[in-house]
Amino acid sequence: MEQNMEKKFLEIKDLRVEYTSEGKIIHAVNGVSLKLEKGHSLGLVGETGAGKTTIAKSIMRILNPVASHVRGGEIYLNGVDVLKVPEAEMRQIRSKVVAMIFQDPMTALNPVRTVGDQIAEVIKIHNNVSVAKSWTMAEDMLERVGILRERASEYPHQFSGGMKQRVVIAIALACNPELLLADEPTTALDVTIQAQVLEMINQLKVEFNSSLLLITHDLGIVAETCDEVAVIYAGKIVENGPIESVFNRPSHPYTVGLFGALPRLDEEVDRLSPIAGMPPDPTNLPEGCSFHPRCPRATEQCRQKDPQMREIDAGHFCACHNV
Amino acid sequence: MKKSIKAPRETSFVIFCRRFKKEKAAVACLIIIVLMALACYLAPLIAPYAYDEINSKALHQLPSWQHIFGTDDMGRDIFSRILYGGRYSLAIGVLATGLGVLVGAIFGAIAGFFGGKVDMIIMRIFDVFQALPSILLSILISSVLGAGFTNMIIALSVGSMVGYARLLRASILSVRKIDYVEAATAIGCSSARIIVRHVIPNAMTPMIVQATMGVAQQILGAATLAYIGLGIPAPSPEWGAMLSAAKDYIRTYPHMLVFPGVMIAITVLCFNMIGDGVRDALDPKLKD
Amino acid sequence: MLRYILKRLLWMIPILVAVTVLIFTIMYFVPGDPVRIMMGANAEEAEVEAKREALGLNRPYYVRLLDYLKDVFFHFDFGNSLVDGSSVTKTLLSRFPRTFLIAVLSTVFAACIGTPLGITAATHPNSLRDRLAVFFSLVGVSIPGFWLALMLVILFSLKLKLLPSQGIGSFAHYILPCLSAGFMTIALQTRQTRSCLVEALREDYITTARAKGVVERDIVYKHALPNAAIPIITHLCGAIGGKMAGNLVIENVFAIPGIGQFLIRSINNRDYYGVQGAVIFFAFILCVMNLITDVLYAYADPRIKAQFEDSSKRKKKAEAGEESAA
Repeated sequence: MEQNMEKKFLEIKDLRVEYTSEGKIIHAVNGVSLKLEKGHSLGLVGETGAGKTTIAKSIMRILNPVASHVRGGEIYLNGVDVLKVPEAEMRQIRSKVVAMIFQDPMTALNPVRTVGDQIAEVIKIHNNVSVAKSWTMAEDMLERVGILRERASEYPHQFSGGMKQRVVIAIALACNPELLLADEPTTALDVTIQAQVLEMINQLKVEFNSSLLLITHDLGIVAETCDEVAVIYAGKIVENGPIESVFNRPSHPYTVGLFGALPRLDEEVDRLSPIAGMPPDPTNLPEGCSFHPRCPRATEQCRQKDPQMREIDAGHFCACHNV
Repeated sequence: MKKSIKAPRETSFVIFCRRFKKEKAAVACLIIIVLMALACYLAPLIAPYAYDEINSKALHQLPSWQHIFGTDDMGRDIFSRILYGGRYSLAIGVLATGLGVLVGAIFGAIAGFFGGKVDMIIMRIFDVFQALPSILLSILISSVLGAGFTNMIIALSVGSMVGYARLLRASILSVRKIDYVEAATAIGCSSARIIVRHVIPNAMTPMIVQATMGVAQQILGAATLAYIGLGIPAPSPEWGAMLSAAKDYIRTYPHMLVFPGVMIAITVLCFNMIGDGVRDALDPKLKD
Repeated sequence: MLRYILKRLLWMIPILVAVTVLIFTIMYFVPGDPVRIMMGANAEEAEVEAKREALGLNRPYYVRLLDYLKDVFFHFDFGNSLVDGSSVTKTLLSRFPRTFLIAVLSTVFAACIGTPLGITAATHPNSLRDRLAVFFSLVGVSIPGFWLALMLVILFSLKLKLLPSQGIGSFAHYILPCLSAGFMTIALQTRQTRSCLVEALREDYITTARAKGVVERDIVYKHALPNAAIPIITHLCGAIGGKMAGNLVIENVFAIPGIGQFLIRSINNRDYYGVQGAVIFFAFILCVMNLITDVLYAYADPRIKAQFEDSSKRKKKAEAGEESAA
């Protein structure tokens, strides 16, 4: 068991997370298992509300303590279960070992503190340096994300959306983390800036030799950025594997549906084929396979039994009775 | 089509009731207020004495079994006077709020809807009103109109009117910008229709919360006016007026001051708690 | 920033003129003849009439109004009291320090107690102390200030004989007035701090700070509180302005010779000039306090400060930017 752990840099086992809201229980993550090796990058793909952000926040352990509860599972990072580490130790892990780029740069920065101050703060926490030194390092960091160092003393409201996201990235990378969690880093940005930011994340990831967990609903971004892909539906991984294998041979009906909903430029298609139906109500998930109400290939078995992950190709897993 | 517009509004009221029921403290306060109002309404049946029954043999008595809250400087039973006085105090609180909301809402709606010059003139006039603390304005108006039940209500409502007007105007302005109103405009709804069907129901939420708390404020304001002698003339037993009369006996018979004040505090507290509960029930996001 | 303050100061003038007109008009309709009250019921009608004429009370409304406006805004003269003929301006100025002192002391007292209470409540949501703080603040805003004052007098002055019940003189004289005037503000301050802080703690940048590994104490005091401070400061300054007038009944209870006591006495005596003077003075103080509040607000929030930055400064910056680019 121990040896097995050493091999994997990040391993999530059977993670379950619930939220409570107005007396209702929302099943956000329902038994997710994932693995990521050092230096690799994994794309986590799924619809809004599928539990992607919850997984990332669970790794950082920054879920809202009042509303959310981790009901089970383990998250090993370098062989340590981060769900069991004491809070003080966890603070040392945050940003130093694993850092996160947030979805909305407009709200992720503190409006009353200068950007330099916000970058320097994280440097100061994790490195034993003077205040002046941490400020210089923060300025260096700004330069690396393509912002003039003179702007360190400005406030977030003086920056554009794309620039703010660069600052958020600078904060995330300031302590050279081993694992970077990017939660839809480009959704809040203009299309023209999206490409720049992605390019920069890629570049910096190589430069800092970090692993990357990229959360997105955009398969195109995954194809450009990741080595592996995991598709999540209603809080469960339905398919994962190396990027070529999954893209060449999407197997789960949901994954197939996702590709069908993607516009293709190389083929003449009359119209896109969206996935029928709506994502399931997370307070009341269907019996059996969560996807069966929307699945074109659903059988009686799907309605009753939750399918397990099976290896269908080298390293390519899929959770479907009919594959 | 009509049904589909009406249906969600009904359910939202049902949802509100369900949520409000969960606010235990607020429900308890609502029950207390209802019981209190009932007791005051039925005062002639419940009260052991008449409010103006003078008893020269029982002056300044401390609470006892005959007079559970004691008697005042003319031997009148304080408990009975509080029951009768509650009629005035509760009525003033509710009516002054109602009048303030009504007048404020009219001006707020005019300002919010017509915008432009009308809005500017109304708001500038309100700026002037707001340059004075509302209690000062009420005192001034009260001193012009003179003491009395109706005059007190008018004086108090003028003091609070501006707040409601501003609130409604702000809600209307913010609601106007929201997509569904733009959508309604786009599909060609007339502006009167938009006001009635779309804007008013949505602007009501903050008004209801404000008004519940407003009753509490008005009861406090009424007590203040009465205390400085601008209340209801004797022998009518309004709570604030009772305090005003009792203050001369603070050194000798302080019990006369205790009970009317406690009643005011309890009533105001209950209205505040109800207001809190209503707010939480209408907007659960504000909680936790 | 300086230009902003100047602009605001200038804007105060029309507001104050309008307030003066409003008050003058309201007082014009006050029933009861001040001269009659002044000279007593037994005075001869001719005598009263002569006095009225001498005081200029028989002139038409607009003439008196213009006259009054001229006096107030060009000579800073609120007229003379109809009761004893003393200068209202002098009376107000001599009474102002005590009213101001009580307002400031009670607000400071309330801030010192209310702010920590609010912070504790906000950082332990739904705990027992949160509930207690919320309940306490509701009780606080529900008690009539003057009644609390009377109860405190009964307890501390009459029963325990610890503190003086009225008048001024020593520091001890100010304890009960400030306590009773500040009690409601404690409650308001607790509520305000709690709700602002709870809101700030729910923002995304707090999650960012957690993700950085910031300790919980710094999250509250370095990240959330600076953001929450803006409305908290506003509320406190507003409280001082509002309290000046709000304390008038408390001043009366403790027989403190402040403006509030003077105002109530003037109302009872139908002393037009006293009432007008006191109310306009209160309005002026409120305007000044609001201005101070807004300036503080702008200082606390860089977003607002930026709006008021001198345009020349911005230009310079742009030029500097061009140079560095070149």
